[in-house]
This record gives sequence, structure tokens and C-alpha cells, in this order.
Amino acid sequence: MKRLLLLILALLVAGIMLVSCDNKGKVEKYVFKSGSVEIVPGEDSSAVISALGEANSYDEEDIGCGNNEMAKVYNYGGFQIKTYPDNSKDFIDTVTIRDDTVSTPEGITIGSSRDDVIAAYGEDYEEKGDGLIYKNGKTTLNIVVRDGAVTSIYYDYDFE
Amino acid sequence: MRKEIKITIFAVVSLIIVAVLLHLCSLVLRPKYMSQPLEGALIAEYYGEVDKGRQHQVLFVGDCEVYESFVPPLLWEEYGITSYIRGSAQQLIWQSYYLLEETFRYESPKVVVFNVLSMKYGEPQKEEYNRMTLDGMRNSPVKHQAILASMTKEENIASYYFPILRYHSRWKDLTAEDFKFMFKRDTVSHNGYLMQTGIRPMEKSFAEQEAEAINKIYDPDLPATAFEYLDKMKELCKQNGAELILIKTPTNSSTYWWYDEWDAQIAGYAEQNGLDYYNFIENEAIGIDWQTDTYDRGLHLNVYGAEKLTKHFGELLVSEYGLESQQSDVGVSSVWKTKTEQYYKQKEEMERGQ
Repeated sequence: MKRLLLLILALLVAGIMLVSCDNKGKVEKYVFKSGSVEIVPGEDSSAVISALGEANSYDEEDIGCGNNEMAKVYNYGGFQIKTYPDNSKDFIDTVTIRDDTVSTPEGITIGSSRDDVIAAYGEDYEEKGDGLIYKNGKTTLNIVVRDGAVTSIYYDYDFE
Repeated sequence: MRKEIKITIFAVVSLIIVAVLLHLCSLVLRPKYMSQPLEGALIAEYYGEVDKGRQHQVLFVGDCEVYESFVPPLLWEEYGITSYIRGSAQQLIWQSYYLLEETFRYESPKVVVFNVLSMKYGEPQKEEYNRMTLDGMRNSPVKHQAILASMTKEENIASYYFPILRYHSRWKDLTAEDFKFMFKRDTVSHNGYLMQTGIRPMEKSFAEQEAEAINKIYDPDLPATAFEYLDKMKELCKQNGAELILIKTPTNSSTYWWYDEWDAQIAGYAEQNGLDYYNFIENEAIGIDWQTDTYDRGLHLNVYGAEKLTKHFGELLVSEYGLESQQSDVGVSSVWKTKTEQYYKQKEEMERGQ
């Protein structure tokens, strides 16, 4: 009986390892991390904003014609969070990495090379202008590469 | 036999009652746009104008940049030019095209002005914005085509003809406004111009905004679909004897940046097709002051900026396109005298209310 249980356990572990191998180079969901705080585009921003503590600066932006609600913009040094208002709640719209003091959980930062990006996120991207667009569900990781180096990184969410 | 007739009559009457009730529910549930966002009321207002037989020398079509940038009562006051703006929030080029096609059924403007910012979109965008343009159009084959061209994947055409399918869940958000404006709505614009008197200065320079804008991903090529509709718009104007003018309003913010590559493509298209294109961004002759002439930090002009642009554009309409003043026409003058008075009255009220 013990042997049978051990065999099942071994098969389970092997199965999990196989699944992990299949997903190498492709993350489950685009999540940005600041310390232990996970920041996921499209999710309610309140818990994240509270966990991150006071922002270095805060601003509000108009979100476009025909809409009088305001987007909230929180700057935390190396990165910025912009929220999208909907039904009296604010959802994370965009997370922008602003300089090389901050990197994505997969190690990409401003100044990384195009090869670094492809090694970290794979070749399943859409190319538009100078940008590489990685889509995962409704979250998107946008990376602008100019002259071989990353100049801009931002995550966003398709609210439509 | 008599029983069958009774059943038939009962069925028909029941159907009529259900249809009337559904229609009434639909009238209540549809958003009225009589308070914010007022933009949703703009497209339907046009019919009140043309049903009175009023014609216009100039027609503007496009997105928020047209209904916040040109002031028809001022164009009349300064130059005697009659005009209407068929603008709406995030109006896409195929919507501009179909609105133009519909407009030519009612009148024959000499000049059509199209703002090119929407050329950046080649696919349907947001349902809320579609509604603000399409729900206001009268039912017609043109509207049907506009709906087909505009629908996002999640939308279905039936909801445009039976609005209750779309708005049934609004019952819990109903306000007194929904009942007050169930049958008739107030006029919120001045021939399509939506007034804003607030002042919120632009905080970042154009150079700073450009730096932000070019760090976003954008396609340097404007979509082919947009050019197809621009071709159609050009042909439609030609068939109807109207001059098509392409413009880009002076507003330029990192959120809605007008990239140099796009500008070059529009300029090239205009040249190839014998059209005039005016890019008013950073045109000093207009005299826009970004500390006083915008209500939202440079996304749109306020009334003071719109008045400056209108005066500048009016001069062009007279000098380059030979539009003549209609002020000697007593009937037209009488109508526009009222419109001008209403414009200044609202401006004063809004300024006082701030």
C-alpha cells in the first residue's frame, strides 16, 4: 500500500514538473511585483495602493471625451500605476516602469536588449512600430525597443 | 367562427398592448444624456434643426475635437456663415462617413470639414462610444450600415433596434431625468458645439508630452480601413458638390498624440487627392494660450480657445473658399440672431456659475 502511495505521489510530482517544463518562458499571467506586492492590471486597485503605502506623488487625469470621471495616477519612484474608474471603484489600468531601478519579475528593465526580452517572454509577440506586444488574456505587456535597447515597459488591461 | 374572431382580436390587442408597454419601458430606460455625459445627446439634436428646413454652408464631422473646437454662432456673428457640427465622442471615421451620407439627404453644405484624429483607428473601439453616436441617429439604411461598421465583437445588432435589450438593467439607476426627458429632450449644444468655460491649464510642454507619447507603442502607419473611408468621404463630397477640407485641431496631448508619421501620411494623401489639409497644432497665428484656453490640461479647447480657432478658420473659409455672408437674408438672420443670443446667455451663465 505504501509503495502504491509513493508511486502515485511520484507520478504527480513528475506530472507537475512536465507541466512546468511546457510553460517555460511563458508566464501564467502578467503580474508586476513591487517587493511582495503583486500588481495585476484589471484588478481592483484599492488593496494594492494600500499595501504600497504613500506614493511619491499623486495626480488625476481626464480619461477622454464623454467621460467626466478621472484616472488616478500614483508615482512610486521607478514605476507608476494608473487606475481606471468604473462604478465608483478604481481598477488598475496601466503599470509603467519608469527607469532601470525597477525591473519586471522576469528581469527586464529599461536598457535590456531585445534578445533579453525574447529570452524572457518568448517569440509569441505582436510587433507594432518599435514595440513588442505580449498578450495574456486581457492583460498586455508592452515593450518599446529602440536601437536594440528597451526604452519603455508598461502593462495594461483591455477593459472592453 | 365568432369565437375565432374574438380570439384573434384578443391576440392582436394583447400584442399591441405588450408592444406599447415595451416601447414605453424602452423610452424610460434609454440614457437621456441631459446631464453628464451631455455628448450622447449631440447626434440626435441635428434633426431638430433640419426638420425646420435649416440649411448650412459648412458641415463639420469628427470626434470630440470638432464639437469642442468650433463655435457656429461665432462663425455666423463674425462672417455670416451658417454651420453645423455633427460631432460625437470618439466618432470613428466610418461613423463620420455615414453621418455625412445621411446629412446629404437633408441638405447640401458647400464645405465639409473632417478632423483627422480618428484616422488612427481601423477597428471598432468601445460600445459606450458607439452608443453615443449611433443611438442618436434616425433609423434608416444609412444607420444600419453605420451600426454594422461600428459594432464590437460583443455587440449585437438587435439591441440597436430594440434598445430595451441593451438598457434593461438600467432600471435600478433610473432618475427623475429619465422620466422628465422620456419624450422630449432639451437642446444641449449650439449647432453641435458643446460649451466648456472651465480653465485647467496645460502643465506639460508639447516636448514633454511628445517624449511620453513616443514611449508608447503606436503603429506609424495609419490603418488602411481609415483611408478606405476617407476615399469614400472624398467621393461622397464630390458627388454632392461639396469641398472636403481635412483639419487637425490645435490640441495635442500625450494621451491623444498626433504623431509626425501620421501627419505626413495625411499631408501626402491630401496632396495626391487635391484636398486641403490644415494642421493647427502649434499654429501661432491662432493665438491659443494653453494656460487659459483649455478646460482639461490640453486635451480639449474651452470656449475661449474655440472662439480663437473659429475666428481663424472663418477667415480661411471666406478667403480660400469664397463663402459668402448670409446676413442679408432676413429669415436666416432672424434664426441666427436667436442662436447667437442663446450662445452668449449660456456663456455668461456658465461663467457666473464657476
